[in-house]
This record gives sequence, C-alpha cells and structure tokens, in this order.
Amino acid sequence: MNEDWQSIAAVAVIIVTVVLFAIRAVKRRKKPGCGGGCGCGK
Amino acid sequence: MSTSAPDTPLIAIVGNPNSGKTTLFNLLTGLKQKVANYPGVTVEKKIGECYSQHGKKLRLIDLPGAYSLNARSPDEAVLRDVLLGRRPETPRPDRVVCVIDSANLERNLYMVSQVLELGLPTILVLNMIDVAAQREWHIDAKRLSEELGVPVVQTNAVTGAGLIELKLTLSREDLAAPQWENAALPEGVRAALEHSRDELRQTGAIHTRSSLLEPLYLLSDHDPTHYGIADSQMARIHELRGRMEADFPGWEDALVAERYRRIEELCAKVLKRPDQEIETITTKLDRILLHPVLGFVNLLLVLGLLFFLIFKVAEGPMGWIETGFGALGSWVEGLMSPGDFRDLIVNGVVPGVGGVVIFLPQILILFFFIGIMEDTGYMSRLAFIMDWAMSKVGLNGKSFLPFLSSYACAIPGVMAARTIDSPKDRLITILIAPLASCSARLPVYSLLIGVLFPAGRVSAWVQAGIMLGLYALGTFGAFFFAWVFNKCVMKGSASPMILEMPAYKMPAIRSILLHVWQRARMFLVRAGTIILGISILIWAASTYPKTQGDTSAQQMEHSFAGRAGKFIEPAIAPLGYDWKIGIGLIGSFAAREVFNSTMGVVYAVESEDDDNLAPLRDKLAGERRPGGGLVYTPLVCISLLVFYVFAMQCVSTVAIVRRETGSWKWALFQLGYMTGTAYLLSLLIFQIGSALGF
Repeated sequence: MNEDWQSIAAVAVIIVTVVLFAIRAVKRRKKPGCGGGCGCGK
Repeated sequence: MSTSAPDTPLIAIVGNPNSGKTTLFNLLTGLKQKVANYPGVTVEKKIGECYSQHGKKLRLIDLPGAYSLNARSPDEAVLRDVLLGRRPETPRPDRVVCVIDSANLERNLYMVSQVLELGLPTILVLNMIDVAAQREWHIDAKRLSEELGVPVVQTNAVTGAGLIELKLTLSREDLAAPQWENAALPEGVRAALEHSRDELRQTGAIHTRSSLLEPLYLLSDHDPTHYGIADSQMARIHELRGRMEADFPGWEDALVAERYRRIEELCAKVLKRPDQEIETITTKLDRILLHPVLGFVNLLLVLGLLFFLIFKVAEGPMGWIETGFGALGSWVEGLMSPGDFRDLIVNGVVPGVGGVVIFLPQILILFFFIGIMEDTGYMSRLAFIMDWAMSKVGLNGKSFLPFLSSYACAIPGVMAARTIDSPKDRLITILIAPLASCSARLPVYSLLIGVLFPAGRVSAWVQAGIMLGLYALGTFGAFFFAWVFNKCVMKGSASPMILEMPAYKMPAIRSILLHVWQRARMFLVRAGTIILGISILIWAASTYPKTQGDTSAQQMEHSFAGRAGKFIEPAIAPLGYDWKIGIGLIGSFAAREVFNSTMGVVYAVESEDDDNLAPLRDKLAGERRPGGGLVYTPLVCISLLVFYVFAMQCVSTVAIVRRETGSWKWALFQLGYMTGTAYLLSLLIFQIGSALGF
C-alpha cells in the first residue's frame, strides 16, 4: 500500500470509528446503564 | 404470558442468596452459558445449556438470589416477574429447581413455599448437605418429598456430590405439579384481593388470566420495580394497598406468620437435630475472624496478600503480553511501507490496546481473589468487621457491601446500594462508592508505581505496600466524605444492620474460574472495541492537522490533542503536569484506564521511530521537560496517583448515579466534589513537596 492509499485508509478507519461511537451513543440514550460494557458484568 | 419453546424446556434455578445456586448452575452448564442483562435493569441474566440423560437439550436460567417473592429489590423483582411469566424477553420457565441451604432449612423453605404455590413442576435441591451434617442435622429427604409432592435431591455443589441424581431428576418427564396448598388467606383478605384483582385487570396492570398470587405480590411488595407497570398503575396499587391495610390491619404479617407456622410443622416432621448446637468450623473460625482486633489484623493481612499477588504473580504474564505487543508492532512495521495507516497501527492501535491489555493478569487475580472471598463466606465477615468502622461515619455494614463491590467496578456498587433501606444511607453510599479504587484504576496505579519504583529497584512487597496505601487512601477518603455528608449535608441517625453470615465452605474453584473467565472475556471485548476505538481517535487527534516540515514533537504540539493539552496546561501546571499529561486526563475522563492507552499513543506518535516500541513505563520514566528536568518526578507521580484516587473520571458511573438518584443534581454534585478534591489534594502535594525541596 503506497503512502497516498495509506492516508485514505487511515482517514476511512477514523470515520468508521466516529460513526460507530455515534451509533453506540444513540443506542445508549435509548437503553441507559452500563450494558455489561464496563467490565463489571452487571 | 410468555412461555418457553416446547422442544427445549426452560428450567429456572432459584434460591436464597448464599444457597450455592450459581455454583450448581455453573456445574450443570459449564462453559455453555451466556451472560446478559435484563432489559431496563442492571441485573445479570445467565442462561446456559445442558443435556438430559436421554440427550435432550435443556435450557437453564440462573435467577437472582432472593429471600421471598415479595420483592424488595430489583433483583428480587426480576425473579418474581420471570416466575410469573411477566417479562416478554424471558419465557416463563417450564420447571423450577429450588436450591436451598440445608443448614438453614426453615428460612430457605419460606421462598420454596411461595414458589410451590405457583404450581410449576418443581425439584427441590438440598444443597450444602455437608454443612448440615457437620451440625449433626438429619433431613429426611424422602419424607420431605412426600410432604411437598416434589422430588428432593441432596447435593454438595462444591464437590459435585449428588449431581448425577439431579441430572437424572431433571431428565424426568413425568414431574407433577407440587402438592403444597396455597397460603391460607382469611376470607375477608381473599375477597379484598379478588376485588383488587378485578380493579387491576381493568387498569391493565395484570393480564386477564392472572391468579390471586399476582395481586398478592403487587400489593405486598413495598419497594417494587414492577416490569411493564406504568407509574399511574402503581399509584392505583398504592391506593389499593392503603385500603387493604386500613380494612385488615396487619394482614401481611399474619400471612407471613401463617407461612412460618406451616414450615415449622413441616420441619418437625423431616428434620432431626441435636438439642444443643454443635460447634462447627464456622463458629471456631469466627472466633478469630470476627474478633475486634484479630479480625481487623487478618483483614489487613488478606488485603496485603492480594496486592502482593497482584504484583508478584502477575509480573510474568504481564511481561509476556508486553513482549507480544512489542513483537506485533515490530512485525507490522517491517511488513508495511511507511505511511499513515502503518502509523495508525504501530503508534495508535498496538500501544493503545496493549497499554490496557497488559494489565489483564492483575485484573484476573483481583477477580479471582474477590471470588474466593465471596465463595468461602469471608466477604460477609468483612462487612461485619467494617460495620464498626462504618458506624463511626454514620453508616452501617450494609453500606460496606456496595462499597466493597465498587472495588471491582463502581457501577454494580452503586446498583447494590438499592438494598439499603434508609434513603439517606443509600444516597451517601452512592456518593462515596466511586472512591473505592475500582479495577479500572489498577492499570493507572500499576503504570505510575512502575515509573515511581521500577521493578528490580524495589521489592514487590514495597510496590504492593504502595498499592495498598492507595486503596487505603480511597477508603479513608470515602469514610471521611461519608462523615462530612452525614454531619453537614444529610443529617440523621444511623440505621442498624441485619446481615446473613453464611457458613464457611471450600471455594468451588471451577465456578470461580468460570466467573474469572467471563470477566476476562468482557475485559478483552472492551479492549477490542472501546479502547481500540478511543486509541484510533487519540491517534487521529495527535496526528492531525498535519504540518509540513515539523519534527514529531512539534507535530504533536500542533495537533488537536496537543492544542487541547496546551489549553488546559495553565490549570494543571500547578499540579506538576505538562500538556501531554493533560491529554491523558482529557482522554481518561470517559474511563480511567484510557489514561494508559492515551499516553501509549501520545508517546508513540511523538517518538522518532527508534524507541516507539519501548514499554510505556520506560518512556514515561525517561520523559523530560524542555528545560531538561524529568517530567515524571516522584512528586508528580504521587500527585497524579492521588488525582486518580479521588477523581471521578468515569462517564458510565455518572450516568448510573443520575439514573439511581433520579436527577442530575447528585450526579453533578458527586462529579464536582470528587474532581475538586482530586485537584486540591494533588495541588497541595505538589506545591508543599516542591517547597520542601522534593
């Protein structure tokens, strides 16, 4: 992968991450609580 | 009403707390289990699978421990609602396995009698039969089976004795409904309940085919969380309850007394015990472990041992993980040509995720140790010993159990405060619970202690001592604030504590290891999702916007993260922190352990490639200010450690406190007082230490 493609891939990964976090935040608003994600297991 | 699929029968495992119910569930299902939450409540839902003697698949559900179907907590409400088939996401069980502690037969039979009244085919498991035998108790299981009309199996969940008999009984398809007669309701009460049932049906609070038990539990639950029942319906239930109490004063107490009378009659037939209590191992051990002085000394020894193990035993596996992540970074570096994507992996993902995963062995040891303390029965003694200390700050030992849970994670600790009857004590417990050093603080403590006292220069005992000191500081801080809140914010008298002291027993190692495995999986899933995502974002914030011709250090300074760190630098400089630590503080506001991944990414991005795979601890220890002085001096490390002892730095806890207290007021108050204390103490330490020449 050359440098240009690497730059595009890095930005794409960042955008996907932001989108996934946004979806997670919206879901959390609908269903508050740790949801087991905190590691507490509750 | 929801029912189970006919081809895979659902079997509910129910019982009092400390009856060995979960150990039995783990023994039956092994690794074939799934842990989730019941929607709407943070109560664990465990479903597993096993096979009957004929190879038929059986589904088992481990319901929360409870003393009665008259729910007084969300856990008990889940049990009641599942057994009544009220929860749409969980089918009504086809069968029930009632696990009882044989050494506490009468008390355990109370809930059993309520379960039998539901009419579901039931199997009674007399667990901990060894403990009853130590007391020279002889339970006539055959007679008990005849009296109740249900199969009775004797087991010892720790050794697995009786498991085959239980599996054989589970395989029976001819289980009849129990013969236990419903609680005798006085005619007036029965008529009133029938009338109430009609009214509740009209409001839609209960379905049209409900038995009299449903209005009975609705009207006799005093702190209920009724699934699917609206607030307006609850108001109606309160009104009906008031009317019942006015018309038939003491009707609930009379029902309880009648139920115990019948249980006493039953026990007289099936239980033979010596006239005088036999001295058991539990009584002998309690003489030492509950002694006012020896008990406290023992507690300190146990905790000292825990932290020693955390440092000494975890050292090896932590080294392997560190080497593994280093090798992974080198491998990717050699595999790919230079570019942003390679940087993202080598300087973002690998150090970010690795910086947290490395602490997995320590967290596993912590959970294993907590499991041992819970399973042996020592945890309840801990609460008893601490009741004395808690009473000094206006709380009781009941507050200590949620506080103790908070050492693993503040969220279950805050949730566990629901068991506290007094609203004042409950609120104070919620406010102080996050001061217990949770497992998320462990990676931060370990990293900074490693910088402060590198391994090899001091013994593991010294490192363990410092760790114990940090835990003690958090505990002391929690007690201090409980006292302050009691004296100044919420005045009132302390309420007494009622606590069950289970008999000591050998820990069920298999069950504990299963629990540790579940925690390990959750920790790794979190590292592979949230921590991975945050590492990517921190890398992005530390890399963009790109500037031409700058060195890596200048690039970092001009990045979004660098600007954010620089922005808060004036506020944190008096604490001894530079702007890069500021980035760590901002990053870890969401969760404390993110500090490690943030610092891992920040130093990896900034380095000029030659040392970017060195352990984070070494990078921190070698980091210098522009003037040449070390950034992480002992004073800065101590200041930072104290900051993390007291600062909230956990968005999930803020959200849970908001939900549990019902308003933002207390959640924000807690955030404010904890962050303010952290800032003030760190400031004092750094400024006084600097003035004294440290």
